[in-house]
Amino acid sequence: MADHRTTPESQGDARTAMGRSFAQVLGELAEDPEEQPALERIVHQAVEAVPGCDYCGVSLRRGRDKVETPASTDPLVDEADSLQYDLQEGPCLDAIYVDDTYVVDDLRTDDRWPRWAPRAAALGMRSILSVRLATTSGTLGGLNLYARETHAYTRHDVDVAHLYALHATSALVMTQKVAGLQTALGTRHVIGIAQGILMQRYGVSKERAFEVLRRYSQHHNLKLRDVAQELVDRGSIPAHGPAIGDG
Amino acid sequence: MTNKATVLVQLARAMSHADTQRSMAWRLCLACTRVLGADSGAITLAYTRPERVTLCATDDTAARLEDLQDVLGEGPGADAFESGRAVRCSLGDHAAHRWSMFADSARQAVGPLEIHAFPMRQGRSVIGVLTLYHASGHRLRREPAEAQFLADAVVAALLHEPGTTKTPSPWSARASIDQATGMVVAQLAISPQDALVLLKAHAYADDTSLDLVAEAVVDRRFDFRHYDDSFGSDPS
Repeated sequence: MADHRTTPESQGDARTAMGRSFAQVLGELAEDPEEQPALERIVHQAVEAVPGCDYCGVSLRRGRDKVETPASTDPLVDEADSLQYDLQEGPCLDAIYVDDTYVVDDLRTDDRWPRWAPRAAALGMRSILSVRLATTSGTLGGLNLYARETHAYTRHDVDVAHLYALHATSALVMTQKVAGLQTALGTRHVIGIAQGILMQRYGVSKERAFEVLRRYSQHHNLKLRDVAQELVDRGSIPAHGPAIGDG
Repeated sequence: MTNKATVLVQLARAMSHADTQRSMAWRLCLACTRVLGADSGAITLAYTRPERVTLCATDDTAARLEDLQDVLGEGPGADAFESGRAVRCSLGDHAAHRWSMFADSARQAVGPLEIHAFPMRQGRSVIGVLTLYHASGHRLRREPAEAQFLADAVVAALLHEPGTTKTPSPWSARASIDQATGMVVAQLAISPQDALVLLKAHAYADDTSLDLVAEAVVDRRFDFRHYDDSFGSDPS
């Protein structure tokens, strides 16, 4: 692999070869219907795809301000990432919120994250490459590559990581969309059944039944789907009073 | 030979001619039907699951056959969904079918049609089935591999459509079935699964559709507590 870094042509060839194997990776990634298996594949493939990388983790945004690491190749990554989330400082977070690429050549001498860096170095980490996972509509998270050696990542590795991140993002997006669709179908279904139960029990219209569910969910700060599921599972939601029978 | 670019262009062209007031799913369904030279088609998601919904049926024949497969719980669509492989069925063929109940009922309802069911796939997930119907003796206009490609392309198109993952109202036909299910749950104190089975059994026994049975229940013209009294009466 070291030879491929020498000439521009050989880097182009390497990129083409990488492109082909990325397509294969994408194909493999796209085979997983659920997010967790897809993420596991991403991190394990990344370690193989990027020379110099010893461990890899994916950090994903959950909501606007929360980030977590749902998949990694080593518990050391989980620990290093957790420290970032606790201290609210580190390249994973910056790759999500600030810039799209961070390269750390030596954690012991890098001063960008003064509280986190020494603690990550104490875990044995020296080099870091963090790249953003983003679509045109927003940032999903980051791909974080850790190494035990200093100066582990070259310019070429950064390009490879970006290319990899692009493919990984596409696969993740489709996985999430399928999950979203399946959830929507299930939600519609359980709400419909809950409506029917209320319609029969109280003799109300489907609109009124829906309103009951909606009001209950708002009043008790519960998801509409959860209220509906509770009604279907238990046969009742706590007494709503005479309001149900109105109209 | 498979020519994905060609069929995609044809699909896009067919979609541009479809009524833009209709949903994306409906336009995709109609476009696939036209590109593949079928007489009619249907798109049904979650085919064998309780949350099943037919997004589009281009005519009454397609609607009837989707409903029949739902009511009987068997047929080419169910097999395509479960196996992830395309399934072909010839109703005019009197040889033994894997789904003899469906084949007999379908032949009686619509005559000797050919049915092609393509699983709609995203990676390893099958999210639904694109089914095409045409008169026996005819063939689809494109190769099976191209038709399968179109079925998968439909998934991508639907997933990119913003309305698809919201809880939508255009699916109100299925909402009636879910509501009817809930009403029967409350009427008889049984599980939603059993309630749905009862609704389907009634549809089959009365040679009518699940939609119409559900409508009768929701409109309170039919109550399963009085089943013995009203057995044999036409809920439509």
